[in-house]
Amino acid sequence: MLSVNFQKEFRNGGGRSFKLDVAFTVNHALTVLFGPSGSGKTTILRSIAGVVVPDSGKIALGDRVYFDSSARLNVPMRHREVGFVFQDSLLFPHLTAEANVLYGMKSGKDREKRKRVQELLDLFGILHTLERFPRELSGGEQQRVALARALASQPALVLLDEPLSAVDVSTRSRLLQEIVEMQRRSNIPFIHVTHNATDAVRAGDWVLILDQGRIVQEGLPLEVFNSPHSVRLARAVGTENIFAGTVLSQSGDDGISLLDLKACQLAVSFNGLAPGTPATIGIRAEDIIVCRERITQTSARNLLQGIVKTMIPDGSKMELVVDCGVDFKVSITRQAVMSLSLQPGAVVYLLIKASACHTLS
Amino acid sequence: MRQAWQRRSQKFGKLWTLRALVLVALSYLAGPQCTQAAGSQILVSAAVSLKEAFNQIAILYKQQSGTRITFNFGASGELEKQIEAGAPVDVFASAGEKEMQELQTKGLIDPSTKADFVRNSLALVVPAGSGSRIHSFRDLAPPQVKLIAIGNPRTVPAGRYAKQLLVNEHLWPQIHSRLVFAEDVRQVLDDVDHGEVDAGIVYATDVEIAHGKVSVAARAPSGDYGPILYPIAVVKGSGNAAGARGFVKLVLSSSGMNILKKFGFLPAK
Amino acid sequence: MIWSAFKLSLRVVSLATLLVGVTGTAFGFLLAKREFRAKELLDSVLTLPMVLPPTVTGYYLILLLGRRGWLGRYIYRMTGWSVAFTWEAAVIAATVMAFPIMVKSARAAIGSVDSRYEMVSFSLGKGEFETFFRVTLPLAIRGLVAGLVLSFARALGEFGATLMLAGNIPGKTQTMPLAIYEAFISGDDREAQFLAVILTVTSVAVIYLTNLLSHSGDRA
Repeated sequence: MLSVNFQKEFRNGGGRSFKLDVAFTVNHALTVLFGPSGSGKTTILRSIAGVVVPDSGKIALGDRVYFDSSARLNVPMRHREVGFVFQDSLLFPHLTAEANVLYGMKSGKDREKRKRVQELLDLFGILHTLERFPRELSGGEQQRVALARALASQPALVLLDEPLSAVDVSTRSRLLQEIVEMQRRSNIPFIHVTHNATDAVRAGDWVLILDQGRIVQEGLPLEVFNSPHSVRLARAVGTENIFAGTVLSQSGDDGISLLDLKACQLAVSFNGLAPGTPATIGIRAEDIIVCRERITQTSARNLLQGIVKTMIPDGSKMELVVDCGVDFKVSITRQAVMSLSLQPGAVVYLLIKASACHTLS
Repeated sequence: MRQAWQRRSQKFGKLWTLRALVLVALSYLAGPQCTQAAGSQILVSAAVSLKEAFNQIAILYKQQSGTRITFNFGASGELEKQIEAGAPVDVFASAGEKEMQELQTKGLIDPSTKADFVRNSLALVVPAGSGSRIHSFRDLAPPQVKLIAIGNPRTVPAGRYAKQLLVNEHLWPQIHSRLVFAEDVRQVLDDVDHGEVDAGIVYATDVEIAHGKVSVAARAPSGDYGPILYPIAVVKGSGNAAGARGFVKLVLSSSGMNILKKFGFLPAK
Repeated sequence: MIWSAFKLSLRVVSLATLLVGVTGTAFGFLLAKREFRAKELLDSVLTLPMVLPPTVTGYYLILLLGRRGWLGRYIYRMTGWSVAFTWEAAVIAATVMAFPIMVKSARAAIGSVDSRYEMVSFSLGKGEFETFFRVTLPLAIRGLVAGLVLSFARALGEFGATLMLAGNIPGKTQTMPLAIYEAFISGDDREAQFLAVILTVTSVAVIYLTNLLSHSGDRA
């Protein structure tokens, strides 16, 4: 069980400062630390590893105290037994994959160590990389060797800092799966830092949302991502559409109210908010359906007509901005764009469920 | 210490000096002034031991003839090399016959102007106030005397003569492994002055200008080496032959010789 | 005389290069990977021998190590031995003159090694010493070898400071550059040429071999 509680302030030349103040415990096997860039996730990892020294606080793994400002205790990195996997694998360029993995291994006979290396690499399915140098390996292979290297040193904790960011799309999915498998197999707690919501949901037993230096929410991934509590959190988890408006009419028996956004109206699921009350909602871009025709026979409570403003490719998806009086960000697959022959200027209809509109406080 | 540095840096400055001289001289040669008597200049290469005396003679020469003298002092061997390499020198005064002879053989000096003008003698010096137990050349023999400085016999006339002296005194076999070769005589003086060596062999004239920085342990009897004769000559192809000849004449005259005698030189006889 | 100058030069330069290699790398590491207040000042001081005329450096060495020097006088008083005019002085002169080159090369080479590799090594449980020898040094080796070669060349050609501190004593302190100079001045051109050729061939051979070794890792 890892308990982390520390504060650190960063000052840059312009007199601005960024304060990191976090307190959390890690009880789960695979914990995700999620947040946008600059929120401090990497700093947290580095503080746990010992690369960065906090200003104050305490970090302990079980009864091993790594850092305690009140006792002026700071265990140096090499004694913390924390494995680290980085975005760029940081494999030693002058050593083969085998030598890299062997590097962190402690005592034991040479032959036994070699055998263990081969087993590890075989588990990843990259036994063929044994004699190769990092520059001869693909991004995915490098990350696997990096993870093998971290595991070979038999750490008490493994930290992964955006390990999939630099890997190509087709490999990411497999690699993510392998990370989860390795965690289960090794039974060592993993802390996985990412800014990708999908990865967080797929590979996390518990997620901590970080925003501007503070933990704003934690919980089971699905819950947290689908129901952000606040505007801040919504932004943090990537809810692309956030609208502020006024309640127009009260909910009836079905718990649906109308929200007035001046340029258009949305049916949202509120409860007991009096007309005239200001309210803010968030809608994820992936939760909006795009149609070419006006479809009336649907269960969705919202049908908005709009014109496509811009289209920006995003991996296998396409992010559209649709003007319905208010700009909506919509995320659909590129195939859908092609089969619907969408382009800027096209007239489309957006289908949005009332339940997809989350109330934000 | 400064002088030592300057002297030593002259060594490396030599190569640069050569080039600098070429440039400077070229600019002089380019102009018509150098053939006129008034406001003319000459370049004199002379052995280091002549420095103080020649500087005074130069002042006299300027008063008398208006000719300005630029001096290039150094070890005779180097000066000879420079002239061979084409340095635009007008007058050469060497501390040894060998260097002048070399130039004469190569046809680089005007033999009609060549003359021996002074004689010098050797002296054994020790660091001043060092309580040294060395009072004669023979006192150099015991191994307690660890380092003795002389000029490099291959390149410095004073060194040649010092070696001659030591050989003739039957001291060479015992002493030669403890010798430190300097690239010119003034360096020997500095080494002794700074206590880097236990004793050194220099010219008697060097002792005069040392101003008490070293003590004379002994003077060398003149039979054992040399004679140390200094020849002077006008270099062939001088750009200002008249000015050059005038200087040589002044050096050989009674006023010139008086100045030289003042600094401890003996007439060549 | 020629062979004694050759052998002496080789001995002096080998020892000097070894000393320079070790000390230069150590200081290069200090400057590249550590932060402290007087850092750039230290860098400037260590670079001095490269920037000052060799004779000035030689002068300072005498000031320090001569019989009446700040350090030398104590050595002389205690042991009756002075370093001036000994072959050790030639080693010192060559080392001091080549040292700044090695420090600069080492600082650049070691500084170019991504310090994250060192961080990784620490995270895998290795200490400073082991990290330096197993990660930093191998990754910096090309630059260090280049620095060594330049230092070797500088030491081999060292003249000014050597002449001042070690003097020109055939068989004892007369290294090849001094021998060439003496031969030239005394009119022995043949000897001068011969020595110069030996010096050139030796330098070229060393540099060629070193380049071969350091580029053997390159692919076409």
